[in-house]
Amino acid sequence: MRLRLFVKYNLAWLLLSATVLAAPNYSRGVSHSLALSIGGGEANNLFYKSDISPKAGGAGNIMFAYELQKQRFIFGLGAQLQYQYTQDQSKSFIDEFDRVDKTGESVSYGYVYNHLSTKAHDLRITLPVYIGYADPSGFYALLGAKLSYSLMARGQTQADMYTQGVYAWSIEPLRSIGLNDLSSLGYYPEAQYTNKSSYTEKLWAAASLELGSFIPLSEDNKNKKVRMRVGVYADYAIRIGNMGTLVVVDYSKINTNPQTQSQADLQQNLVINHILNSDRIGSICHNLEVGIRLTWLLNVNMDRTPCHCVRN
Amino acid sequence: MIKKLVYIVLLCWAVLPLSAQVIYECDFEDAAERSQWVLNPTANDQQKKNLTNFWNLGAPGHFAPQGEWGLFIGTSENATESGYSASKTIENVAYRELPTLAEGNYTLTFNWLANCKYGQEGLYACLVPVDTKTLSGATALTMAWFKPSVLPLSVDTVMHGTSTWAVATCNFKLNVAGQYKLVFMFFSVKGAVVEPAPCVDNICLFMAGQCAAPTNVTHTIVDANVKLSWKGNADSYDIRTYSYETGKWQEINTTQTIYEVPNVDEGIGIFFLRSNCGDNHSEWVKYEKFIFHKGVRCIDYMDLNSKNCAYGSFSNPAASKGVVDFGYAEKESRHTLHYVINEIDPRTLDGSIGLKTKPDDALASVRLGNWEIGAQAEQITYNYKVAEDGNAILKLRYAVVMEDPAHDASAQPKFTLSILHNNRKLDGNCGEANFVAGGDLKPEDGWHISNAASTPVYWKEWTTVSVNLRDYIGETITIKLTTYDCSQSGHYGYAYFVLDCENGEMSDLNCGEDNPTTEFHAPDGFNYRWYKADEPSKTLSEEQNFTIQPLDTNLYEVDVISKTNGQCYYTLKACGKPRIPTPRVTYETASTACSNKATFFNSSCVYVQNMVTGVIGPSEEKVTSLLWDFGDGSKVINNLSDKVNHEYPANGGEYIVKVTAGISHDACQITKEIKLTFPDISNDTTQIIENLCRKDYPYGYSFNGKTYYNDVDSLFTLTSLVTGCDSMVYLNLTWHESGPFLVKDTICEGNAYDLFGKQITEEGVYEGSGKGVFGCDSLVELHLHVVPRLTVTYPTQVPVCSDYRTVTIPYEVQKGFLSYIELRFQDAMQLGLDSVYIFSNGDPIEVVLPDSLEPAIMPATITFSTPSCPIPDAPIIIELRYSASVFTQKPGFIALMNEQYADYKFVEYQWYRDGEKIEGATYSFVSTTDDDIDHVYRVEVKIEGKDELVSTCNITYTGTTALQRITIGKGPYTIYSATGHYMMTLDNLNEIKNLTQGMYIIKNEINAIKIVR
Repeated sequence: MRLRLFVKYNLAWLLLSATVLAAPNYSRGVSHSLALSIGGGEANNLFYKSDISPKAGGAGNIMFAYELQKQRFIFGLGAQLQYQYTQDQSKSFIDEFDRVDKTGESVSYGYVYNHLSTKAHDLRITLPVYIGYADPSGFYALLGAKLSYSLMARGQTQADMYTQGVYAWSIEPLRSIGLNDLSSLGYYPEAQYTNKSSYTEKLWAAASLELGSFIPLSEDNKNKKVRMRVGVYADYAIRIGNMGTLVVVDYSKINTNPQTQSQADLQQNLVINHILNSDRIGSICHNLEVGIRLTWLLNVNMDRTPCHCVRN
Repeated sequence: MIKKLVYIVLLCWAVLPLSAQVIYECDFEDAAERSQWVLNPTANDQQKKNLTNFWNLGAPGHFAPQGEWGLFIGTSENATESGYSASKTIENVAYRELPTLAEGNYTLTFNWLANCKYGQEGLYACLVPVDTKTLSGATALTMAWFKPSVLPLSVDTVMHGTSTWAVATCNFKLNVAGQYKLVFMFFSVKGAVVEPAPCVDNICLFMAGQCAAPTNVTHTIVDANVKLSWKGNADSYDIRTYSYETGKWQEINTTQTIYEVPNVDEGIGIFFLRSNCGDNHSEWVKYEKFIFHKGVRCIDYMDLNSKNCAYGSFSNPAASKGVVDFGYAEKESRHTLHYVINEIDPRTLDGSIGLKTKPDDALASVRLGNWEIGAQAEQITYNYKVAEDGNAILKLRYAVVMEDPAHDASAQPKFTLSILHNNRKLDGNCGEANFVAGGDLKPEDGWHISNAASTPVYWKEWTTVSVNLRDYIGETITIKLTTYDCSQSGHYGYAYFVLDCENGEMSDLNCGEDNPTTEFHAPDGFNYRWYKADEPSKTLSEEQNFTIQPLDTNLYEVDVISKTNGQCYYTLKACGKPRIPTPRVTYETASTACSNKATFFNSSCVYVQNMVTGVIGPSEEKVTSLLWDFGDGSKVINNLSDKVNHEYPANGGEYIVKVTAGISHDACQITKEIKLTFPDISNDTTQIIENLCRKDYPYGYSFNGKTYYNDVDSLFTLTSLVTGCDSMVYLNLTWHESGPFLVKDTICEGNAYDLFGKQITEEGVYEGSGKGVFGCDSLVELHLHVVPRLTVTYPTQVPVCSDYRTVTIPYEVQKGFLSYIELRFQDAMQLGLDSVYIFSNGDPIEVVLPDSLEPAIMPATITFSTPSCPIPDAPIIIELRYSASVFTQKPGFIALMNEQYADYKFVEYQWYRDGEKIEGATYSFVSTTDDDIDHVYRVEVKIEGKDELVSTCNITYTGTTALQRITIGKGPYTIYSATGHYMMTLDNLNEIKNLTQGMYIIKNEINAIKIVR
């Protein structure tokens, strides 16, 4: 775990340092630009050996950056506002507890969960830094690192749940089915339970890659002050912090007295935690965002040094 | 055509002394043995080139059905056919070195064949010391080795003169022991070739005399069998015979000196016999006789005996009775049979031409007379009853051999035929024929001259002379044949003859519509004159066969004229019209004297068709055969009589008689079927059952001469005046009166009583009149009793809890009388139940089911038996249900328990509440509310491995497991202990007293519940 964190942290700083250190070497013959980028695409979390599976989500971002270009080398540093919508769903499972029923007979009491899922909205502030390559043909490639912080990471977690009891003499679990109401025995039919919460660890570090092409503008733009490029990007983020520390369902507030238990108690006291906070996510929780980005570059100084390079 | 068989002499092993005394034997089948033979040795190659004949080994020289090799003379080395050249006088040698021979007596036998000319030409066998050269080429007869070595054979030293295989047997004594070689030499003389060339096979040399061979072998003919008998003192005898049925030689062993060989065909019969003396055998003795069967010919002309043979002199040919026969080859034989195929009379042989001693198609001929002079004469007389089957032409085939001394005709050798009827010559002397030597003996008449002997010999080819005996059908005639030498004792004459019978009709006339004839064939042995029937004076032909044009429908006639007497003739008609044999038969049947008889009247004839008009109509020509198949399995007979009788079995029946008319040797046959039906007149029993109205028979009933007024029930024995057969008659006679009758009867409720057409269903007294069952007038007072139909109410389905095992079927008799009840379970045996349970009326129907019986649905039938008016069996279902102990209940549900708790593994469920199915309640539990308290639940379940849904017993939902809420329905209640012991019966559970703490079972009619108190 510590090694991973070390790698996560230091990889980003390494990339950032390299680009910053590289920048002064290109102060002569350098084009300075302000970059405005907008992008959007698909985002989803990634899990490894987990009972949780992601569903498709969405993403959008806007970024301001200061970009230097000397000949074919690009360096950028900026700030980005990033939004993601993700959905994650867990496999069905049962939480069983040994207790007695209302008649005092031992029973294996089970909570059966189906369709447990979290839908989350995540608004992040991101600091990207990147270096790149611009080919005279127009092709470009940018490689960078990002550090993000979730300003808002709220999600709604819901599940369909019913309870059942298995006795020593049972042929099949006893539960309320359809018209059969066994709530008097503490067996409640399937109902939906919902909780809203945020995930706790909000710091992300990402690696970023963008490939694309400069878009040739009209001949009237003789000063080449404004350039434009479009590309596809992919951001692979790693969540930083202690994750998966909570149980997905918290029964701590549940009334377990069979004589007084009711479904209303369950509705009220059953806490289903954000999936990304739960131990069901396994050991790894990553995030992948892919999309298309459009960038305008405003050249803030013209390089009067003759350039023997082929301009866009 | 008599079948001719030639029994072929066996291989060497057939004539061998098959004992340790056999020194050498050879059938040339073994290649190694063949290589030991030295063929055609010469001094040098030049001499070999001079040879014209060569010894060879191959198929032409083999004898006997088995084997493919023998020694034979051919005209070249590696010849494939036997034959010899007489272009030189030369000899050919073949020899084989023998094992060392000791002194003693030997017998050498072998099969040989050689015709050759007379004289010295022929085959010789020699035993020559091994170191003596024996070469081909030179004239061996003059060689020094020949004369001392040539073996004396049983007949002659030289072997020749036979065209059929013979056996040579030579007994000799060897005085000097040593090594010898067996030499066969063929000596040919320049001149003519007389085939066949020499051949040798099946050589055997053995020590003689260790075991005496059978002697005095004779035979008699017994039906188709040959009974051999012989003399001997051996332990047993081996007999070898050849079976043409199987195509194999067969051997039998007998200790007797008689053996009957079955089914021996006519011809030369060859039988081999030998003696067995311990481990030794004798040589085979060949017994060869000509075999013919009597009674298979119209005339047994080959039957020569002392009654029909005579001999004498020219002046008195029949001076002495008796057969003079020393064998056909013997000169002295005067009455003998010739049966060897292709045997040539040596006296007639001149060059390659000679007289065969018998016709090719005859089994044998009789030779009458011999070539001995001395004015001898011989006679044979046959009595013949001219057959009714149409064979009324006596056909004599004869050949004559005589010398011509040129005497007067009366003194010449001659051969005569005389046919007598009642000791008188036939009318017109038509039965007389004389064949006299001398005169104009023309070659075109079949005469030949052989100059081979010093005196020319005249011989006539086989000639056919037929005598018409149609006027003597059914009569016995005497046929007398006589041969005469010349009266002056210097010249001989003899004859061969064969006698046959024919029908004398035109042969090969057309037959049927599809076979028009263009040639008519008159009988053999006559002269002929053909003419049209309407132009008799105009001779059209004098040939035996006459040809007409197609579609020629003229009627032709032919005079069939005796060759010996032109005045003796008869006339046949022939017509080109299609001829159709038509059976015309009528019949009468009669059943008398206890037998069924049929008499058939035959008028069958040949129908002819006019080729121009196509009209078919009868002619005067009779059919030549009429076969009768009487249809009762009896033998089919050929009977042309006008009237034919046949008897059929007395037990009668239907019979299909088939009458087949045939012509032209049955080339055309037409069959007519007649269906006959005969009554059964055999001795069996007839039943007479009479129900008579008294009123109609005031004078009684007559039977068998008696009158009966009372009922009869008896068996009588009668003899039929019609059939004559005895028969048994059972008479049952019942008289029916008119009444009035008092009739008391009972019917079942729901049925009706028919009182002369009126249907009565109610009990009471009724009067009626009408015709009774047997038609007799009747007045009846009916007292009718109606038995109520039994009506019983009972449940069609009876559930039983498996805890209690007692099936109780309630029932109630609503109406009628019930005597007893039977309960039968389907598959009772598999269920371990009795096949039937019987209960008396009033007893409860209770069956205790075995503990081993699992809950199941058990179909059964219940029979409510009543002495009268039975009702059908009723189906009932006994359902053995799962005990209520398989349930558990809590507030909110009732559930079935698993296998561990309930002893059954339930897999399928359907819940019922108060008998109503709960839709969707298909789980092992059902939820309940307080509203369900006191309601009765049960579930139909299926257990693992079974397809049947069986219900549980009922359980009442109490809402709690507490005793306080027990409700099991109405009483009375029976309380049992947990182990099922009866405790008490109460009307009210509140009356429970004095029960200790524990588990009890309270039961009312249906429900059961376990209670823990």
